[in-house]
Amino acid sequence: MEEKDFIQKLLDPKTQNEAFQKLLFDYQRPLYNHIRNIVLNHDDTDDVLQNTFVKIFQHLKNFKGDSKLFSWMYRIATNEAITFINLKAKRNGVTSEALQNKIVDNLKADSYFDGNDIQFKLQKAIAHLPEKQQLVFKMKYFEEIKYEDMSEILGTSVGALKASYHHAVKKIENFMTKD
Amino acid sequence: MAMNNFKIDSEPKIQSGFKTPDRFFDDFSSKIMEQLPVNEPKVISFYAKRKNWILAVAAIIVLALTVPIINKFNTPSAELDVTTLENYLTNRASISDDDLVELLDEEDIQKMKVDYKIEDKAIEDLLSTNSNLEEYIIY
Repeated sequence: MEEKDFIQKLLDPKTQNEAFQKLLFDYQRPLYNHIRNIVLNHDDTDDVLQNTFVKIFQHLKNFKGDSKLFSWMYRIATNEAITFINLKAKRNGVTSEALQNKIVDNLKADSYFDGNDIQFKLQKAIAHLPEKQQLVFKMKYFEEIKYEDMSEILGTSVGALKASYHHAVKKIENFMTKD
Repeated sequence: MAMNNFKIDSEPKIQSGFKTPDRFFDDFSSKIMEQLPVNEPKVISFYAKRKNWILAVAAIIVLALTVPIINKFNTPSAELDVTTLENYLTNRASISDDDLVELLDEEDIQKMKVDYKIEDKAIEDLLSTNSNLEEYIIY
């Protein structure tokens, strides 16, 4: 189905529920993974994902079709996740970097993390990166999102994204080799 | 755990290591559907539903409060016109002259005083020219 037709179905009150259920079915897992990679904890991801879908539903009527529906939804999910992390850090009186590091340090105790030593170390290496590089690395490496799509989601040029990814990889390789 | 010359692209793909609780996605979409706001036209607030009634009741109260005020201004004056009063006094035999006098005050009496403006000389002339005057005096 053409994306335009699908959007029409999402906006038409008669077909809205059915169309939104399809949207949920198609995107709940990829958006879950995207949010989970940012907020790291399952319960927080659950909350953020619910808020994300409710926001998507509420703002569908404002969706201009300038970008793909997919990248528009990822943009909402990314903003929700980053806002959540920042608020959580503020509530705990720490910076969001410090909070990320703390969550990663505790990952081994998290019953929904079953990574081995290399996976754990990779998470630690990522947590040491600046926010933007973290995001670009996770979206490229774990989620395998194309640069062109990432550019639409994050509003950054493809060139800048490639540079961010390159810097991120270098720092991660250093971290993994050194310690 | 140190690694020699770790190269991310030459390593087998490393997964994130995150797990999702079993069956988490089974009821996720129904959980979301329950949270979605109902279409706006279906939402009729208690206030909106009762708005017409509230307006109607308010209008009745305003009218009820206005009626006595309008009434007060439109009531004919209690003052009687002079003719009615005269007729009343003339035809009521039970009111004596004394009763009327009782009702008069000093100002009323002053108003009733008639000044004939007859000079002394006119009286003198009248008396001297009237031949019958003596008869009046005698009787």
